[in-house]
Amino acid sequence: MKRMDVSRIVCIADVRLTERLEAEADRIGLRETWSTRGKQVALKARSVWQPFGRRLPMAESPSDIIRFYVPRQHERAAMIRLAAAADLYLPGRGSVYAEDVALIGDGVQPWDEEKLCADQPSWVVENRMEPAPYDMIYCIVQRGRGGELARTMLEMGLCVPIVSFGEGMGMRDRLGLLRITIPQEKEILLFVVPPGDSDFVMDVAVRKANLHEPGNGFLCRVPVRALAVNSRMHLDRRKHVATMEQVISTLDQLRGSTDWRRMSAAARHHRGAEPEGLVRFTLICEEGTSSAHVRAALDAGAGGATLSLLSRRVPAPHEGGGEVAMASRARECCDLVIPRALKERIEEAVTRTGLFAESSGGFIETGIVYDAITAAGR
Amino acid sequence: MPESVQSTSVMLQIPLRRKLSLIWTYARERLMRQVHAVAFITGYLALFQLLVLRAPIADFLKIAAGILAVVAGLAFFMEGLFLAIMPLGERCGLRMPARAGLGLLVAFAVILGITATYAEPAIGFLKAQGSSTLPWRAPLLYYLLNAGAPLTVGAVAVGVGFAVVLGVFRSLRSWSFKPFLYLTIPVLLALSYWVSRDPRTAAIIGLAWDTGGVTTGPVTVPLVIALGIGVSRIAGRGDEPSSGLGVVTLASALPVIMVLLLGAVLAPRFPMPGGPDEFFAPERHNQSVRVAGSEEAFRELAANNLSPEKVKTRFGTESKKKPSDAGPRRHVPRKMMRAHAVNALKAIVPLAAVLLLALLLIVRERLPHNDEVSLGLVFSLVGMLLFSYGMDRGLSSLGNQAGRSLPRAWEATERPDKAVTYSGINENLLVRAVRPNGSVAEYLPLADKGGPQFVPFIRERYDADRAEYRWIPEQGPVAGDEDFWGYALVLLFVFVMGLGATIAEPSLNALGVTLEELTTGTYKRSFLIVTVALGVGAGMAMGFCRILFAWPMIPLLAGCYLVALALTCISTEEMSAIAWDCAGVTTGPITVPLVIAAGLGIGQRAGAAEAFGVVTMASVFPIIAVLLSGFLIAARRNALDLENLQMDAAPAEREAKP
Repeated sequence: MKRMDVSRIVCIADVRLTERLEAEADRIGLRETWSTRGKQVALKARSVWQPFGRRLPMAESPSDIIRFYVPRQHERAAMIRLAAAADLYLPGRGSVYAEDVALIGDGVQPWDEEKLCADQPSWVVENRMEPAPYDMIYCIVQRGRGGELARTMLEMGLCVPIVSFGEGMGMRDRLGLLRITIPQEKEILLFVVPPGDSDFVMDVAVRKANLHEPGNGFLCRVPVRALAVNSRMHLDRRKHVATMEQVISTLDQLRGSTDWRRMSAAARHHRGAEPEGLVRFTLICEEGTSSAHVRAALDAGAGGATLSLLSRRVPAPHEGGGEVAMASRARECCDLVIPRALKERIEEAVTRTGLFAESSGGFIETGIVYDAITAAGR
Repeated sequence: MPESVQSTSVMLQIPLRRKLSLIWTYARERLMRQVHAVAFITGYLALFQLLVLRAPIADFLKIAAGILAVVAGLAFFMEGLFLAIMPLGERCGLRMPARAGLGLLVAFAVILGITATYAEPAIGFLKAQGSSTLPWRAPLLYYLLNAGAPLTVGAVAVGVGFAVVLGVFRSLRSWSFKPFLYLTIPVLLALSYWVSRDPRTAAIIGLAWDTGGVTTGPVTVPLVIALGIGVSRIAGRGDEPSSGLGVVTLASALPVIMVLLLGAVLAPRFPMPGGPDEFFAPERHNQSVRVAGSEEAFRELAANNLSPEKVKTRFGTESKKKPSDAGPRRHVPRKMMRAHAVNALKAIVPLAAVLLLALLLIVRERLPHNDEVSLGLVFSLVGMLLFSYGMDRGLSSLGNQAGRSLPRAWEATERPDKAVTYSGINENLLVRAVRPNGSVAEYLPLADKGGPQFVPFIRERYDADRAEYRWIPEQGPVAGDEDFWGYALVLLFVFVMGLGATIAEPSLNALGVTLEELTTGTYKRSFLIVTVALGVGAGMAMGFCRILFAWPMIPLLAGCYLVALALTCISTEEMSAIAWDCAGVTTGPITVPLVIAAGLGIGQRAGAAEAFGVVTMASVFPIIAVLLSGFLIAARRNALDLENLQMDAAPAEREAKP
């Protein structure tokens, strides 16, 4: 089994930018990218139609969440090129961040060695932007409850939440046919926040979504490096030559960190060790084949999994037309957070169910998790 | 895939009480959702009849039971859709292209389309719409609805089959949706115009366009939508939510073309429209028999429509007049239940069988959730049964009553429920009055609460032996004496009825849920439903305008569709796919019976030849409504998002970046 340590880059951008991002990904030399549909939310100014009410209306912009893998040494260059291609530095467009993961599996060929390692254009080399440490908070709640949580984040001015849909697996699947009475639809919320704020954001999320009570959801924190983070929380008519978001990001750059805008006095989370000994364990395989693997993982001791649909994209060959595309691009992504001790066992279990076989065409991605909160407590 | 691991999971044991509470929460939520959906239309129909038309509701308990059945049926049916039918369709779409060759895929799509048409035959609805068609006034139409009905259904089936093939290929090859529209709609309009120039075929235009709206039933629509989405996920730009849509639009448009072509092909063999005497003339015997379908049917027609002497001279024999079964047939409830059960089985079993066979034989794969799918199929069967039974006894019956009372909007009506019997009446009391033409009318002075008044004397109500007179008071037109207000009231009624019925439509709900899922909730189900409902309401009002004022069909159709096409040109690909698919989805099992009900009430008054065209109008207006809503969304967004207005413009010069 091939194992490699790589950088996973996630780029979230308005759907109108997807084409540009994909074109740039092809130029960078990526062989495979995976994307899923999500949305970025913001508060908007009161309109004529809703003149009353205490709360501002929410605006949702459909966005694509694109992920791919590059060797660690190319992480910065790839992020810079993507951010420039879609002008992600402009507030309201999107975010791009990277994290360390290990890939396990033979089927995955994320990049084109020759093209990727070719010299970077001079504007990339000369670029002074450096990825800054951020925390990505990954939060799963019942479908329909995410909106309220996202709104809270916006109203408190914490971050621009990124929302996508998924399905939960776990306890529900051990109930027999009675499982249909429990909704499996989940909402996945991503909060990319400065490390100084992440404890506070987690507290808010736990309280607002009642994550300390059973059955309400799950939350974990992953350290990432972000180059551009969407900070446009309010859609409103522009009143000055620069928006507040632009002012803030300039200050971030001048001060070299986001620490100056910390909201709480909480001590900064210590980075480095993994206090809980937890790992994020993600299976990616052809759509419709994941249930056997996830069940095996659950039997091997995992607590639960969240399924989301991905669409695999390979650069278009240039001949055009031709036969009907027979290779499916539909993939399923199952996210599990498990104790490190269980990793080997679960890996063996999913190997036995044929995750790496041709019919599933799957691979595993594992990454660090700082801490996770669910009903059982921290 | 190794299957040894499938069932090793430990099942959780939970106490019965907890189980029951889980089931209760689940059932209550689903039922309440349908209660919300149905409450509006039910309350509206009842209140309109009671308060505006001031007519009592007959069979109140029966109707209430029927409406409960509709709610329960809808809840079961929707759950069945989400548990079984849509997952099956999506799985077929996801797996078939990879496992089956091109030929097999086409064959599968054709079979699916044809099965769908036969499973939910809409011909019953079309017959009801054309029930007042006279064989001599529109011979071809009469033939297509009666003896030629199998041919009509066949043409529709071929159209739907072809549509499914095209839709699947569109998703697979990620062809743009708009060219399909630019191609089919003008062809449709041109064909309609061409057909309208021949008096023999002109009458079938309404029929043809309405088949488009009604062929796609509550099982078919969610199924083909799921199929399209499955296919679009494996190929092309699967992340574009609209790339799976469009099949429904094609499945609505192609059958129209097929029926029009069928009409054009058959037309030369059919007689010109004329009077009954021409129709029954011996020299046109062969052609007329062809219209009726058979010699017996022809004789029956003659017996029902000609005087006995004429029949005798024409056929030489005394022909017995058979009672026509135009009136509502009375079924005993059990028999009715059985008929509904058969229909439910017919609607679901063949389609499910095609999908399951395709999965088992071609894809050769076990279903991941066998139990869920089986339960879902049972749910959809039970749901369909309860729902159609309840529609028949509850909502349609309420709609029929309101429809029948509708003429009260512009005519004076008698109120037998307020009849009073006066005793001590004799003919000496009668007062004679002269009409302008010199005839004499008799009036009777009667005293009631408001003082004395003269009422027209009707001899049949006078009992000379007992000296009693039964007076039935009359109620003036609800909307006053002006026709304008009467019409306005009717159109308002139809508008709100279309709106309410659409809110409860199951396939529109299914489309809404699918869209919400595809767009991660950025396109809200409730927004879609309300927009479409407004469109349907406006469309139905327009359709009835056409019937009331006898507006010509083709210019109206052309106008509406050209507006829709023009709006499509300037809309996004995604919005146009959504908008046009809504058109096929809207007219389902709730709207259609109510259209018939209102049509019967209004048709009587207007003396229209047929009540076709309402469904077509109710299909085209939602397109316009959804496209307009798209502009509204974009405008509101762009007003706030100035920086990002040019997001889809070419990327900035990268070399210039710092």
